[in-house]
This record gives sequence, structure tokens and C-alpha cells, in this order.
Amino acid sequence: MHQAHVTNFDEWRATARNLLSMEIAPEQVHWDAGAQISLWAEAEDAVVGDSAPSSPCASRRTKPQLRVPAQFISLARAASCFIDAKVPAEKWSLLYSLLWRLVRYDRRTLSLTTDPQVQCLNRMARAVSRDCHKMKAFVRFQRVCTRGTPANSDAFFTAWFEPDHAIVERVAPFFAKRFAGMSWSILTPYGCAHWNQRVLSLSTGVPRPPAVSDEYELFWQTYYCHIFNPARLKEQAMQSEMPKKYWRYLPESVCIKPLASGAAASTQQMLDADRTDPLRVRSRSSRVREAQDTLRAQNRQ
Amino acid sequence: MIDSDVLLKKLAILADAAKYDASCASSGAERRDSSATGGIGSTSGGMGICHSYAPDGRCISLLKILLTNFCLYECAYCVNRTSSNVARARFSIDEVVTLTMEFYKRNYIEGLFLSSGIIRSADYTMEQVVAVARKLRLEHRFAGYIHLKTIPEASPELLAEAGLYADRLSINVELPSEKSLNALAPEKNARSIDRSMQNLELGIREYKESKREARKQGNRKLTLPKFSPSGQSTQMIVGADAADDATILQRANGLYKRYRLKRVYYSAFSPIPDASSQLPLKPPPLMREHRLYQADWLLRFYGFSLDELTYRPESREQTGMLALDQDPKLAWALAHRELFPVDLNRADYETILRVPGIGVINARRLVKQRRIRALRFADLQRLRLPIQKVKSFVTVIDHKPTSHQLDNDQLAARFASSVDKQLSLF
Ligand code: SF4
Repeated sequence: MHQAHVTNFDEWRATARNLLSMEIAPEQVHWDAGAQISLWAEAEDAVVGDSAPSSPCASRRTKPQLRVPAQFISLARAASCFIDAKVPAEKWSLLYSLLWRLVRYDRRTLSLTTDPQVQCLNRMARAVSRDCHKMKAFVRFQRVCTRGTPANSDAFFTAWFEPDHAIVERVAPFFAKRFAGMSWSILTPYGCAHWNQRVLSLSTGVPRPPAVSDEYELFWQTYYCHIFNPARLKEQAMQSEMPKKYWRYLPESVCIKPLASGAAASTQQMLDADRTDPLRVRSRSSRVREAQDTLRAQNRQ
Repeated sequence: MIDSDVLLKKLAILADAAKYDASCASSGAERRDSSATGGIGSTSGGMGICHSYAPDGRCISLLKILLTNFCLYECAYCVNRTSSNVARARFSIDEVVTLTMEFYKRNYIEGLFLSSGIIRSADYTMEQVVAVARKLRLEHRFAGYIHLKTIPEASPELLAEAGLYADRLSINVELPSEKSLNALAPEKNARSIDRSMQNLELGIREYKESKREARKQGNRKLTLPKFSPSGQSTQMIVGADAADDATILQRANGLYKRYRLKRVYYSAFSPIPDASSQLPLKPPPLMREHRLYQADWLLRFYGFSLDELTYRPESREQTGMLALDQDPKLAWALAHRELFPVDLNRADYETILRVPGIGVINARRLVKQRRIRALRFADLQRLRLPIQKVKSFVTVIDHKPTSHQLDNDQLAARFASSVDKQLSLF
């Protein structure tokens, strides 16, 4: 039995290459995931974008070159962020089994869309991509008022988020490119990302959100309350897209309950209210009447 | 310095004024970000991002507001029409810019959807709307999404400038026929709406073509100034006039074909705080709007034709209306039982697309899979297709619906009730 201890995709790739070159079958490897978050410990000044494998040239010289479909690499990269607390190493052994099949048996293995291993890979990759999408959507920055510098350019923003998977490193470049012109930190229990308008850096996770309040939350809540149409209440549809577990990050979530419970009454009120005569203003204001009549005449031409 | 209390009040009024517009999409934008400019904002390419959902189940992706809800027009279905008793407000250009930037920086939104009631003249109003976009792009290096509602009568120069800053421009056709428009929105002009959509289409096409040409020749100078790179969209109000679904879909179909719209939005006319006595008392069922979206989808991506969709199985005739109790694809399949079951191992992709319960993604997966190994019933389960629905319509190696299952007149009834249960979720 071979022991393989890996904590991130690049380590897995190097190990898998090695095992494959020694022709070691998946059944003979025992994968061990180690701490899920050790990756953060050394990653101090990561650059934006995907990091390159440690030394591609060296490994190419000593080992037979592996050719696998690009699709596998991108799926595997995504799946390697997957966190399964019960069987943390399962993803690594699954990836190796699939790699083994791709290289030794059938390059088309990924097209077996109903194969249990392929489905498992796809499911992990999809879960990670959904998690990334939700993080992009539901991270909420708060402005930290740095003392003595009220000016906007010196503002610093922080956000707190708890993703299901180890995706901070994967998503951070998105935020760096989107919020290039402001300084921010995204804090999570599994790792933090920081942007100072020049460099993206990563650090170990923090246990708790910072206590910050931001005056624009009131504006956002006001907007949220008033963009809602009570005549179309569909709470279930909202919850399926914005599950309750995300509500704690969203300043607007305090509005949901009162809006939903008042919806029926305010709709009834609208239906019961007296209707307004379309001539109400027209009959009083000659300015309005003339303006409207001019337009109406043009339309009749 | 901004007066918070006043601005909060304006925001409440002008969000209220904008909420009946169905569009809030930021999808399909040209990819860009701020890494080179050091500004703020990016677009996410393909799928847009919904940053929140209102309790009405709608995605909140953009700050959707009116610049002002003062309006000279008397569109009967609109909460902002002249005769309406609602509170009125007007943002300054800077106020909209500030709200957009501050919301965006907190990751509340993907960008701005700005529209306006018509004050003084079309050009005056449009100029204000364009000024907001200009300021965001030029002064604040804002690279997020901008959607501007366009006033059809505004001058071509203003539209060109709007197209330079906006990702998407839109003009609402509002009602499917000129007759209804004359009756319910007498200041609006059907001909100028069409003319302007045509102009937008031309501008969008020329820009796209110049981009393609520039790429082909490797010369970026050949690219024309930007023009609404994410195309144009429109909205139709459903249920305010007597138009049936066939009329609405026909109009939509024509718009897709003629002006290559990205989307037609259907908006079931909604009860509003201060309704006009000119309007029907009862709003249409929301399900009608939902069915129109489904039918619209089938027309554009599933190869269905208009006639096929409004054919009613029970009465065996064209009714002009979509069934409310069945989705349009199921209704079509039930009316054409002779075409089923479909053999998933043999049928072409287009035929598989027509099976109720199988969408584009799964149709592709099935075709891909069967090239390697013939499909079995377990494959359908593993793809998590809605088995109860699908199994009556398909054949695979180890499954064949009994003829009894397909001919049974109860089939329609069985689906009607199962669909009903799902619908109550909306
Ligand atoms: S032009 Fe018509 S639809 Fe637009 S805001 Fe004015 S009244 Fe409403």
C-alpha cells in the first residue's frame, strides 16, 4: 500500500504523476488529506491567476509525459476545492482513479456521463462552482471608517463569509479584478484574501466576523423594501435561490419577514382602493393638456 | 455632502416607481474588468450575478431606479402616469452616481438600470439619463453593467452616446398592437418605437461587425465606437389589453427576428397603488406570464413554431391561449401522442428536445452518452430526469412505456394534477 499525503491540487498533481509513472493502481494507494486549510499557511503573496505547477520542466524530463483532456484538469482543479468533512481524502482517490482510467484505458471516460465516478467528479465540480457563484453574489463589503481619513479614497472595506468549500483562493482573483480601485479584505474561517490595490495576498482564516456597521446598509435596505412588489409574493422561489444560510451576510435579510407578512394586506389595499380618473391632472392644467395633445396629434398623423 | 434623509426618501419613491419593469438582467455582457484601469467594476461574461432576491422571487442584480417619476404621459397601466396620485421625486445626476458607486463597492449590485419618466421633452430627459452614464464611466472609471432605458423620440446623437456607455439599451413596446397602444398609452408612438428599435439594431450590428472585421484583419482601429454591446431588450405588458397569447408571442417572435432582441420580457399587469379607472379590474393570473416565458423559450431554443404552441388538445383547435395548467411542451406532447414514445437511442437531438422533462443540457448528455454505450433506464435515473414525467414518453433498451400508458386518457389528468402541486411553489 502506498501512502499519499496531499493538501491541494498542485501537490496532488505531482503525486499522481509520480504514482502513475510507477504504474501503481488506484487500489494500491491510500490517500490522506491532511488539514484542509494548510494551504493558507505558506501562501503569503500569491499572484492573481492560477499558479503554475511547481516545476513542469523538471518533471517532464524524468517522467513520461501525461496527456489528459484539458476538461479533466479544469474539473479536477474545481473538485480539489471540495470539502467533505466525513471523507476528506475521497476527492483525491477519485481523481486518481479517473486519471488512471483516462490514461490507461479510455481517453473518452469523461463522456460516460452516467458513470458513477464521472458523475461524482461532475457533482463535486458543480458544488464548488455553485459555492463560488454564491460567494461572488453574497459577499457584502462594509466600509471600515479608518480614523481621521473620512475621504473615500482611503476607505477600507471588509467582508465576512463562510463558504462550504475551500474556494477563497479560487474566487479571490475575481474580487481583485472587480474591485481593483479599492482596498479590501475578505475574511473566512478557512482563509482570508486581501487586496491593497496592487497585490492580492492570502492569510490563515479567522474564527469570527469583525464588528462593523456601514451607513449604506440603510440605503440598501430601503431599496430592497421598495423594489419588492407585494402583489407577487413568492417566498419559496426567493428561498430556493437565496437559502436562509446566507441571510446572515445580507443586510437586507431583516426586511424579508415584515415584507412577506404585510404583502397580502397591501395587495388587497391596492385592489380595494378607488380608481383614479385619467383626466385628473389634464382637466386642471392647461400646460399638461397642451403637451399631451401635441403628442397625441403627432401620433394620429 | 449628501443629505441622507432626503436621499432615502427619494430612493424609496424612485425604486417604487421602477419595480414594475421586469428586466434586471446583467447576463451576456462583454467581458471586462478594472485590473488595467484601477477603477471599480467588472462584468461577469456569460451568466449574470443575482446579488439578492426580493420576496417576490425576482433576482436583484441591478440598482433599478427612475431618474424621476414625474411624467407627462398618461400610460394607463403605469404607476407614474400624469394622473397618478403617487408621491413624486427627482434624483440629481450626482445622487444616482453616488448610489450606484456606493452600492457597487459593497457588492450589492452588478450595475445600474436607469430609466425615467418623461419630463419637458424626450431629448431633455434622455440627456439627463446619458449624463449619469457618462459621469459613471468617465469620471469614476466605473466598469460595471449599465442598462439604459431609451426614449424612442430622442435624437440619434443622444442614442449614439447612450450606446457608448451602456451595455444594453432597451425600448419597451409595452403592448402588442398599435391599437392597444393608442388606447392605453396615447402619447406613445408605435411607429417611432419600431423605428428606434430598428436604429438600435443597426448600430449594434455595425459595431459587432466592425469588431469581427478588426479581429480578422488584426487591426483594432477598425472597431467602431462601442454601441450597446449586450444588445437590446424590450418589455410587453400582459393582461392590460385584450390581446391573447398568440398575438403576444407573434409580436415577440417578429421582434426577435427583425431586431434580434436579446430578450422580450413579459410583465403581467400588476395591481398598483393608484390604478386608472381605464384598466381592467382584475389583474391576469401570474401563471399566464410564466407560460409566456416558457413558450418564448421553446420558440427560441427548442425549435417549436408558434402554431404548435397554442393548439389545445382537449378542443383540438387553435385557441390563441396557452394552457395554464400544463407547461406548453407537455401540452404539445399530449396533443401529439402519436409521435411518442421517442427511442432515446435512435432519435435525433431535435426530437429528444421535444420530450417533456428533457431540457437542452440533458438532451446533449444523452446524445453524448449513447455514442459510447446504449442508454438504459438506470441512465435516466442517474441523470435525475423527472422520471415520472419522462417515462411515459421514451423508450430505452430496458424500458418501453406500455401502450396503455400512452393512450390512456387519464394521462393528461395525471399530469395536470402533478403540475398543479409544483405550481403552488411559485
Ligand atoms: S412614459 Fe408611460 S410608461 Fe413611461 S413612466 Fe411615463 S407613464 Fe409610465
